[in-house]
Amino acid sequence: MFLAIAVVTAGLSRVYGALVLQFLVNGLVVGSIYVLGATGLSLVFGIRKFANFAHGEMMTFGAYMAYLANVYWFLNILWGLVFAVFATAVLGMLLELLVFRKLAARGPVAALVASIGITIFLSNLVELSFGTSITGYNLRIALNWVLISEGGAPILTINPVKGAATLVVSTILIVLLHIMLRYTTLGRAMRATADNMDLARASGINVRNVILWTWAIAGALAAIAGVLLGIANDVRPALGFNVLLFVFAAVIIGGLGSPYGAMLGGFIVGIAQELSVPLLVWLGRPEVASLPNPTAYSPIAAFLIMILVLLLRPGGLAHGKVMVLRTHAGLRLPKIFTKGGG
Amino acid sequence: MIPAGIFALLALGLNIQWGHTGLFNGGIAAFFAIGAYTAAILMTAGPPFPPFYSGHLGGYSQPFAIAALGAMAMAGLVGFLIAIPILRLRADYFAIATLALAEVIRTIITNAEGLTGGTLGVIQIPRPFDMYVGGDPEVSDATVAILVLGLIVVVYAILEYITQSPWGRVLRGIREDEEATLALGKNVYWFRLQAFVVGCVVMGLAGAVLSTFLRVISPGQFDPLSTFAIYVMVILGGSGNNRGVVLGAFLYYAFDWVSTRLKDLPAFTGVAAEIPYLRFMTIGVLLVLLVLYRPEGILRERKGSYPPLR
Repeated sequence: MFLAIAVVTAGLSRVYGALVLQFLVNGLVVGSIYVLGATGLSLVFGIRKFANFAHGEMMTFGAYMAYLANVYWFLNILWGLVFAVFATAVLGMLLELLVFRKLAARGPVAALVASIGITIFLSNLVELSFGTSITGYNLRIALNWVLISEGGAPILTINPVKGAATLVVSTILIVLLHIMLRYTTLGRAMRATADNMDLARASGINVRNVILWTWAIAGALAAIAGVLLGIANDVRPALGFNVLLFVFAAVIIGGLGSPYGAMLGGFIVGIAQELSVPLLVWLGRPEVASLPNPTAYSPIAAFLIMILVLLLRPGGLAHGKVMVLRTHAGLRLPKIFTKGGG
Repeated sequence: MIPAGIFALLALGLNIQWGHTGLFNGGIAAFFAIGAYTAAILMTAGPPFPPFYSGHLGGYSQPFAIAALGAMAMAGLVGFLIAIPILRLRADYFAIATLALAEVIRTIITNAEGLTGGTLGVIQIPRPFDMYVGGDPEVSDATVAILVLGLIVVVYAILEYITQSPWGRVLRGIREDEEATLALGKNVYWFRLQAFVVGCVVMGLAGAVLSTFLRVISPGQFDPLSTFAIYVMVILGGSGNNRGVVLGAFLYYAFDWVSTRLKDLPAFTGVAAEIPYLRFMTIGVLLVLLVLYRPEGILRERKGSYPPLR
């Protein structure tokens, strides 16, 4: 897949020169936000086995919690981020306790419909509390860094706050998540629960606690994705729902329930979306197809890839490697993850 | 009453997909929009337009009956083409794929100005009986209301007939146990495709009624929230029960109507601006509560004389 991206990029850069690098960098930034949204969604899917439509609204909720701390309480955006992470993690756990735990035995579609109800509720709660206007965080705007320039004209730029910081934060989180899933007890318990809940329960894992923790982590990741989206673009009630389908596309491309696949899918969706822009501009030229409003069609690129993956590889690109990386012999669990503890 | 009737048509269309066959169609808004735009393009007379408006494909001046048939055919055709590849997917993938395709169609409708008038939409859509009853708005509305009620009766009768037939039993069989139905020698894929297309055709008809009722349509009317609202109606009224989903549509509209008028009451003047949000929050909570505590809705699905598939 990366080979395919490289080939497309090389082909496009022949036509557009170094400009295409800019689109690639933009794609990486957008993609890294999708990665955070998609891994959270995928973790929940892995354990609860339903498509959580409320995940977009969890991102919006996180973005507005940071807005509350940043604009109403005059705190630094970093404290806003911390507050948003905790608030949205609690929200995720509440959703599990109040709704999804009771629907666990009822199959994937009942939970999906319930998540739509939660979507309607949360989006209107946000609009009721914060209004419908498009706003932004209170933070210092920095000038773009020029990475490559040719004869004084910038060719490749990145904004330190809106671009570079996003990339750094998401890279750190991806690495942390990987360490968590692979080496910590909670991560192992999560993977075991996602792989086979009954077997996990039989081997002494307190599945209820593990599921609650999964919701908390998914909520935290959603909040960070929401805040990063708010920093990169603006804060608005439709923030989460607007990207929900891209996040779903990322999850599907990677394979539902596979957090590593979701990481791959997030970058593919972000890069495809940005790289389709020069192609669409070309289609918009009068001598080619004179498509009106060509760049408005860029979301379609992500959906086309999603449909293609669904048709050619319905299990996603990371199919088969759901969450289990390696079988661990002698898995020892601390008390809170076993029955009787916590 | 007319919006309630349009909701009822949509709910009937969804009921055959979701209620009977168990297909989670996330793209109701798209088929509704395709029906509305096809009918609008067929019915409008074309220029002269007001100066701010740049026009759209149209000028065919067809009567409503032809436009409605065209809308149904177009919605059915698009449904057919979309369903061929993605109908093999699992329920949750199918939901996401249809929602994504609905967004694609909405993007095209919003941006293909030559075809649909772009963000301004299609204007000057005529009403079918205005040339006979004159320009009185109340009489005109009454004719549309009679048209909608007539269509609901016809669609209800047809759907009731086909869902009580052996064909309908196969659909419920697929919903309850796909593999058992397959083992009985039924072509599950083909039956699903038929049910999906029939539902899309009904949604296209609802779109045609919408465009003639409102006289103006624009892309903003077909957002994903309208898709979810139809699910609330179907689940509230009773999935799988055609009478129930019509009841659900009218109850939804009644709730809508009452809650928008609450702000005129003196007791609610202080929260008048908040009422729309509170209304949707109530609807969201209601949907969750229905799924949790009464998934069969108000009117339970009627079991026929055949032994239930369990």
